[in-house]
Amino acid sequence: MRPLSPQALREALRGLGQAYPRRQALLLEALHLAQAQWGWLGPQALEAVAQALGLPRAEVKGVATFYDLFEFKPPGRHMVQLCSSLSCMLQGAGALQEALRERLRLSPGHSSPDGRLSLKLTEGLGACDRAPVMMLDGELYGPLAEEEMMRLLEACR
Amino acid sequence: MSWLLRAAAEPTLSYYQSQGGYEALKKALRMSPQEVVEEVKRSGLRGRGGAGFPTGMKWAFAKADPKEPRYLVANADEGEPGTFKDRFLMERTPHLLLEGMVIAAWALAARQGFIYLRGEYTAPYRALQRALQEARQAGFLGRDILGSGLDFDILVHRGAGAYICGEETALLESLEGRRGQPRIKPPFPVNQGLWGQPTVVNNVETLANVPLILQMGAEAWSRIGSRDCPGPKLYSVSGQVLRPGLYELPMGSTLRELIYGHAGGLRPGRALKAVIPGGISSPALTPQQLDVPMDFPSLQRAGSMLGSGAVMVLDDTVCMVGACLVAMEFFERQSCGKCTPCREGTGWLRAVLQRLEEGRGSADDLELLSDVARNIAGKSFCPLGDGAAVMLLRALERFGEEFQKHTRGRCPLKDRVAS
Ligand SMILES: Cc1cc2nc3c(=O)[nH]c(=O)nc-3n(C[C@H](O)[C@H](O)[C@H](O)COP(=O)(O)O)c2cc1C
Repeated sequence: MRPLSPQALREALRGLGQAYPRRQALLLEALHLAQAQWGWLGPQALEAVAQALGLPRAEVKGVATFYDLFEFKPPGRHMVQLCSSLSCMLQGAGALQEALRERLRLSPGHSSPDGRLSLKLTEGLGACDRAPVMMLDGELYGPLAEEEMMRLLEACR
Repeated sequence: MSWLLRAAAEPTLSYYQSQGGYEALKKALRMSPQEVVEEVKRSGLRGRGGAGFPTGMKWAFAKADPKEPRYLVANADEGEPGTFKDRFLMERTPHLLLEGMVIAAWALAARQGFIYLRGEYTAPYRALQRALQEARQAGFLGRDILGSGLDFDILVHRGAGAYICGEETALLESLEGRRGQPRIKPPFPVNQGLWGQPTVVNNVETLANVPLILQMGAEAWSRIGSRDCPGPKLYSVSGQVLRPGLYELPMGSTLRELIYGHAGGLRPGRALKAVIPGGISSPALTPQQLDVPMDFPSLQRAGSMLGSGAVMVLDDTVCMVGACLVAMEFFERQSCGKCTPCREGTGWLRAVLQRLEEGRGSADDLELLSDVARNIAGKSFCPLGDGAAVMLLRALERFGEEFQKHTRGRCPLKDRVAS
């Protein structure tokens, strides 16, 4: 993938800049853009963000690591976010976690051995009425039965 | 009955306007900013983000501070597990939020607004971007809005997954591009919010009520709901009911009405064990408390809180120790690490709950739980720690027998929480 240069990042952020009196306020958005580009935030991505905003690299890293949605190692090709909140646990999310572990060897915070899938447990996707829910590459599915989940994940290449 | 959801059938500007949308803004712009604040005060609107603070008063505080510019922030972080009302509003009727924000900007003389949006909310992000563009094109945002002289625009600021960023001062830190750790209060955001300037932070549902108040008039609006806590309320119902969903009812409707009248009641053969009335941080109620009106003062008197109005229904297949464990795992993971009672305490509580649930606990563990919880409550930097401690203390009081049983053997449930 073509890396996002500090200049390109600055360009992408330019439209937003006027709303904020200080450049640091663009940091989360810059990290989102960098992650969308690279798939994760490695040293190169963090460096590009630091340069684009004129911030110390330690500051950029310190802020990025506070937030759950940023990735610091290369993820699998597809991102599975399974909700682990009480609403979902009441409706069988625990069994779904178990199925992922047993049938796909996929555990929270890790990628599947074939590099296809990454699993992240989330604290809620704002769809508790559809529990148990999963987000697959940004799309919501629920209420989700185990076999349907397996079918969706098998279809990911 | 529908107020906030009146125009939720379609998210477009043309549909919104066909249902009377942006008429309240026109009305507001014919009033003075001070009159708008007075109208909101008169309505008795209390913030829907959890704390129930009177909205008109908050606006008046910010206005009383002469520093300029002033900022307006919509809190769309919606992190409280069980809650999905703001998502629904933003996806289905985004212009209601935008209209509420422009009216608030007029009242406050704010020139820049932000919507701090939960990072996981991809669909609401798209809906808001589309609505913002429509509103700009129609002249409801931008320079000299409808010839009033008001210049105001809104930016969506995406969060990135951190529950604590729903707390208003942590939100401000995060918006400024830092780790989302809460600030000491006072000074309050109304005086020193974003970049040290006066800032009003309001929940999405709070702001969505503003056009209704202007359009109906404060008196008519305040005839909806409880007398001392008026207005319509969006209740998010999840858990073990037949029809989980979002229900708009007058504030102060009872849990019984909500669960049995609207959400379809429980599954056949199941009995009610507990109801969490206001998101995971609100203490669970027992089946004997079903007639409590769901408003801020009534739930407080009942030893819980309205919080975000997220009702989670637990039937008799649920293990309360398991449910508390799931909650405590959440608090431990989401504790921001700033203060010791919360950072260390939630981890201790989780560990003790875990060994009870796995049948490795002892009789002393119940004493230990309440001891640790009492050392968090009232001693943590922000209400996250308090919420974790108090929900557990109340569960120990109200469901003590079930905790006792766990000191004598493993929980009989195969799954961790429910069967
Ligand atoms: C840990 C914690 C999380 C919170 N999360 C949210 C949230 O997701 N959304 C929200 O509107 N308020 C949340 N609040 C409440 C805010 O701090 C604040 O009271 C609210 O945004 C004010 O708006 P209102 O007056 O319109 O209710 C949270 C508070 C705490 C302590």
